[in-house]
Amino acid sequence: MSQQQFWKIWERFGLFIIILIGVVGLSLLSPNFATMTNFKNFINQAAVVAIAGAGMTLAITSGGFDLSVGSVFALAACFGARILIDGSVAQSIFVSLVVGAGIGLLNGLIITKLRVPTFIATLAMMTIVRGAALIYTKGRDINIITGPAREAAYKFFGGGYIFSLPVPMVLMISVFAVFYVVLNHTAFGRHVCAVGSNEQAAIYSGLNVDRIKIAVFAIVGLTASIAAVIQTSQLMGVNSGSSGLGFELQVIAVVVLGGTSLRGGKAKLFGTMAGAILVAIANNGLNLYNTPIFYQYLVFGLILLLAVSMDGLKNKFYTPAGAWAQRI
Amino acid sequence: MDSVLQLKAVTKIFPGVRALDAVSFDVARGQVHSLVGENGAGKSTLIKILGGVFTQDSGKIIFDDKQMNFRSAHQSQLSGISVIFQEFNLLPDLSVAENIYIGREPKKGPFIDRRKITADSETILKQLDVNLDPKTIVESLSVAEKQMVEIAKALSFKARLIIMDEPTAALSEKETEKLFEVIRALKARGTTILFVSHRLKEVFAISDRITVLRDGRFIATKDARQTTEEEIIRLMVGRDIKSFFAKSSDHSQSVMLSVRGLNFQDSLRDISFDVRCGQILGVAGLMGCGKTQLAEVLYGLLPIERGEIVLNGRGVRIDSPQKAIELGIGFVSEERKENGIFPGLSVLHNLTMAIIRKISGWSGIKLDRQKERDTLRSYAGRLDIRYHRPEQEIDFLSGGNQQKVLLARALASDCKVLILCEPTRGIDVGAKVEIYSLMNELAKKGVAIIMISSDLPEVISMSDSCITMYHGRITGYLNKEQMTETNIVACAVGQKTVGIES
Repeated sequence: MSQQQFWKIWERFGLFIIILIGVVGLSLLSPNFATMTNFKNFINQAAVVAIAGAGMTLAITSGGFDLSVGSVFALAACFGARILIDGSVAQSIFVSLVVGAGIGLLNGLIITKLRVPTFIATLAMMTIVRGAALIYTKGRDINIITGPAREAAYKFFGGGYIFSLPVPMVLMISVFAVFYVVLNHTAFGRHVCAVGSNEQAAIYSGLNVDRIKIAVFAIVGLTASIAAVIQTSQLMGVNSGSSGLGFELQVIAVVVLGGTSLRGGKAKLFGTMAGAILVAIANNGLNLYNTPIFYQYLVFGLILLLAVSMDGLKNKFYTPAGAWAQRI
Repeated sequence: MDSVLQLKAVTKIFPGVRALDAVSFDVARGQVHSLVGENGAGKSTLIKILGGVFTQDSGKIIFDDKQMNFRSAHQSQLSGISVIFQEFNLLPDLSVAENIYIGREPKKGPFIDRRKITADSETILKQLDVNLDPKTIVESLSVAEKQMVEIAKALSFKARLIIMDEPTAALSEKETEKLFEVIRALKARGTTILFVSHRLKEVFAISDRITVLRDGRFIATKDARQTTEEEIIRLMVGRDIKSFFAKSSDHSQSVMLSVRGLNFQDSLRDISFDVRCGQILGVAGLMGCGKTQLAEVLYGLLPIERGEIVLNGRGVRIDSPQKAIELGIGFVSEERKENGIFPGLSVLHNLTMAIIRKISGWSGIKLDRQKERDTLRSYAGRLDIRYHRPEQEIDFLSGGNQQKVLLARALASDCKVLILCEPTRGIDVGAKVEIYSLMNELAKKGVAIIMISSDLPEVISMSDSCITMYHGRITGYLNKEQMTETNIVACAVGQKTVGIES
């Protein structure tokens, strides 16, 4: 295999090949890996990160990113959990999603209308929203103890099955299906890529760049709150201080791992899903060997470095076919 | 004659263009020597070679009797040449003194000897008779003051040749006068000045000798006292103009766009003109004359401060490019990379970006890919855009083909007024001719075209009529007969006006 061929295959299937090697390897090494219970464990973990990752993919494609998703995750979880104690499941989920989308909308407005740089705006929002979550719960845990029927219904989102598939997995696939359509089959998706590729050119082409950015951030908030509902349902409780801590970096890392360029303009949507699954498998493998959780941080960082450096090497050694022909 | 600088057959070739073609001339010691020529004559390339930014492909540079081959800006500076570019090389957050001595600060132990740099800077500034506190932070200075800091920096290097690139472009009349005093003082000390400018009045006011470049070639060096502005203009222009297409303008057509008393800051002052359906209006002027701002105001990128725009008989307010496009105004920018193409996106997506919502069902929720591809195919045919596949990234197209895609993007919105900024800059001759014939075709269909261009032969051969701008004002309304290069250049450098009632 020539170097060109290698990089060509790597570009398209690299992440999936590594996942495959991981799955086969772990199945051979550990008798507990290839079981239904364990599959459910890691797919649940992957789904939470992947769903927020879908939103983040959109943000990074538009040339931005959102540091507040961890805090939004926490606040949406707190509101959802608190409301479920007295209210219905529908009310709880509705409020969670509105909180997420609302804060995202606010992020978008601050960035576009007040002209605050994305980094600062979402960083500030990260601490503001975390503070709000702590104030709202007075720093205490919320344990969802309510009617058994309501508890069972809420548990469905994190632990139920649809056609014997785990619900978080179904939700993940649905979210990605919707995002796929939005990115590839709507004018909005096209415009998001345009803003990320060259914001000035987007303005000159008559796109309403502000409105596009606001929508993108609202969507990011929405996906973070969907992820929050799934995890709250799994834990049946939430701690306002630790919930979603470091989640924003995990989500951004998974998007980058998936191959979406931080320069914007190009989305690798399914790369994000693959990235989330890869990280979940790695963590799962470490768990099966009872490795302390500290090692998960280490391995996560190494995977990220490896993936991004492979990408850098690819760009150095490989040019897509036909790209140069027109220049000559 | 004692020459400080001798150029012998200096040649520099960029892909596809001979920027300098065997240029030879001498600069006498202690003189103010001006370098003039149209845009693209090779002035910038020449001073970049002298400043060590570029290296010549062949030819000799002899400075102070030593043959030089500058490999870096630093080398050139050390040997005694200082170039003051239009964009200053100053660090805005540092003081005047720190800027003058940046990179070679005298030390006292591990620390910068602030007292020494302040005192030394003060001495230099005093020599220049400039009243400036060396401790002032550069950011707070005016353009003219920053220029003085650059000159002081040049003197601190003991520069024997100071090259100034369009030094008066951003100065007021008074500031220009002050600059000239400083130049005369420098000359009295034996420093040689190479003065690059478009403004002939200033050139004549300050120079001992004038060298004219045209199309990368040396044309003549004249003694300032023995020549006239008219002769220099003739030398700058003096080429045979082959008109690409003979067109007859039809004045019976109705007025499409009418601009009255437009103002924007200092860049646009009382701009008024009309463009008729099917007419190509050329806009000529030097860099910084306001022609770019004019285009941006008409496309809603800049707000209007005063004045009105009447489109098709109806007063309109254009506050965003979206609004402009809705009203039927198309725009192709001169900065293809900066605000034109979407790098990394496909040719197809680049072309249809502005119309994709319009041509798709349910206001953009359901893309009509068939219609999209048809649009590409139709424009690719009309403009002869050459690409491999619709999915090919636009980055890999040639400049000319990228330009055609941008033109197609503007046309796809069905514009009635088309604003083109430097439509053929940096593209090859074949693509140029195709763009010209497309412009004529559009004009025949009744589109009003405003063409802003620095390329005089282009303005003259393509335009039905032409306006010239100078310092934000219109200095000439020229009809086809009045449109000679001499006339346009004279108006553009503020030497005369045509068609203006005073």
